[in-house]
Amino acid sequence: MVDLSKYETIFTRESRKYFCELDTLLAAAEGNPEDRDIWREIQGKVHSIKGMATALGYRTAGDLSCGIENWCREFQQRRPGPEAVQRLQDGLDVLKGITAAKNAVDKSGLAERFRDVLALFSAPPETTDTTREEDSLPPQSANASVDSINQVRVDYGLIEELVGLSQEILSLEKMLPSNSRKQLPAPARNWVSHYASLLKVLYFKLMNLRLVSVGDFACMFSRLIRDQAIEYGKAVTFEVLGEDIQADIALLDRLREPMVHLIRNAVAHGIEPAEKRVLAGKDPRGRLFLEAVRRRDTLLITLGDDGRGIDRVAVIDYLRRVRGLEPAQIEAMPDRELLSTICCSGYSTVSKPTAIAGQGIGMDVVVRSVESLGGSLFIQSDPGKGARFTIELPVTLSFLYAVTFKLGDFTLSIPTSSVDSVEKLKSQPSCEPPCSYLDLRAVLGVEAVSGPSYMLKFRGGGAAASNGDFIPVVIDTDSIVNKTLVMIPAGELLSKAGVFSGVGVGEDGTVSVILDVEALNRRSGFPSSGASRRSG
Amino acid sequence: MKEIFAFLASGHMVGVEASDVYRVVDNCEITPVPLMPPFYVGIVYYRGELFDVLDAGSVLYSTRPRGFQGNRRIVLLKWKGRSLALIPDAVKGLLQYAASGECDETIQLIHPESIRERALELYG
Repeated sequence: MVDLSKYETIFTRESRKYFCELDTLLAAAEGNPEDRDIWREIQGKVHSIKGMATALGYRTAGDLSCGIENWCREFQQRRPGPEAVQRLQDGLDVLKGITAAKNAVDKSGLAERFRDVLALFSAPPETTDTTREEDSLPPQSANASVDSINQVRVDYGLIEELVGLSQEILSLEKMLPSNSRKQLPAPARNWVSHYASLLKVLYFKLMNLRLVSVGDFACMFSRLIRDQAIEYGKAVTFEVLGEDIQADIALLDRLREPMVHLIRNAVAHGIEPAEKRVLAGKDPRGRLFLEAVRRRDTLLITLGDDGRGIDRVAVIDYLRRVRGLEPAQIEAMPDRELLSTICCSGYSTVSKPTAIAGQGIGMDVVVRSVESLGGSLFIQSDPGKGARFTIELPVTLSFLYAVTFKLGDFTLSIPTSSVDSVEKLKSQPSCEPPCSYLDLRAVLGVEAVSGPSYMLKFRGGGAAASNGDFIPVVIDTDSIVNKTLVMIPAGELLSKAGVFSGVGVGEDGTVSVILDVEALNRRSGFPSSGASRRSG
Repeated sequence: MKEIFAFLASGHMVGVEASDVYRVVDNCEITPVPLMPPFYVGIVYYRGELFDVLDAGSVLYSTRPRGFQGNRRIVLLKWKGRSLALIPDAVKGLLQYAASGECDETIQLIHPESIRERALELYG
């Protein structure tokens, strides 16, 4: 007897991914129902679900997905009727419920809906009676193969647990007294060394699992956007830019709620109804986009729309009415400050709140959530052209190459991308003005150390650096290496120092603080300040 | 009855709700950080998370940091998505107190959020 339970678990997890992708694809199909490629892609994903369901003997799920797949095949040849996407969404909702209940329709609470949708999808779909001009589809192969399962989904908590356990095992090696290791016979010493090396590789691989793509993150909102658009009688397309950028799952998870608020506001208040958009010379469908950009040590996530923009008249009215500001004061207010008024607790321009907008909460919640992550929210708005809400987050979990060195008691790192060169010096440098260098010990308040001196040239000095685009920095250290680090955002207290961009964890478990070159430059006042600068 | 986790800090007996204590760890390497105030001992990386490590006595009672040598017990606190670590003078362990908040007068009950706010205030 074959034990199918583990395959059932894989199927349940795997199908979740397909359903999420189908939400996005259906939203795209709604905006462009004649796009044959979209229907082909939808059919492919439903086909995969059907294949897995059939292989597991999930007959009800198999039958329903078969009916849905047939509709999608039909839509590649004939234009779908106006209700097609909604019907498909209903069908997929039921299919999702059934697969989550492992085909137990009665237990899923969906028995009645299942019968209705199965009957619906057993019949041909409503189409506009036009055959597409493109070539008709080849007949479906009778022995079409079932896609193989090559990915599984696991709970984030499990990954965290595995990372934690591997880290603890790594630290056990460190606790081994060095003299006891020496007493081991050579083969045992080699075994310990090899074991520890493999464990470090395992640890890094596990850390990699914490990264998810922005595309997967954005996928979560496709359905919400579609539902909101229907609720407000608007047509909205959703585009994702920078979808391959990866970020720490914990960070993205904490951005979920702020993004929901921003999306709700954009659909409810930002994007105009189709008729108004047409009058304004715009596409009747509103455009919502989520863009991710990695800039230096920050991740920028922007949610933008091409709607009416923020209602400045309402903002000004609020400032006068509630804050008691005079017109001249408002006039003098920088645009950024004016727009940030919408983030005040209690700010609302809606006289009659609905369930999803105008409750006077939302933007202040967004700001608090972003700030709790050490980030900032920036708002831009062009009247009639749209609004952009950019969340700037400090370095998120990522991997980077860094030059790591000891300076006194401290272990410090600088991203290798910020270092132009490293030169070992034979003696303390001296050079003629205007040549000068930054003494890192003085900047960081480290007591004099006696190690070999190195001259590092930091990139990023820009106009402030006296020596072209580089800041020459001298350090005394016994140890300087280039290595891979897992980078973690600095906490509140560490951020207050103003010169650290994060914390790095090396393969050997070594923790170092990562210096922000630009902040270091600002703090030191290099090259004008003499306090931490030495000239020869 | 509720449980509190009690420890000594600069001669004072301090208690935090046991549910806010994530772990008490020994032999955990603390990474010192330059430019930080005296109460800030360093950072600890534990199970994929970073903790700012503070000298409990120094941050709570503004006493001079003791300077730590050898094995130190570190109390890792986690509450409402935040985290912090303290090094007490000594760990007393778990104690019971009435849910009404009545507690032995010699123990000062403190919420981790207050410790965090105090640290931020001291840092300026």
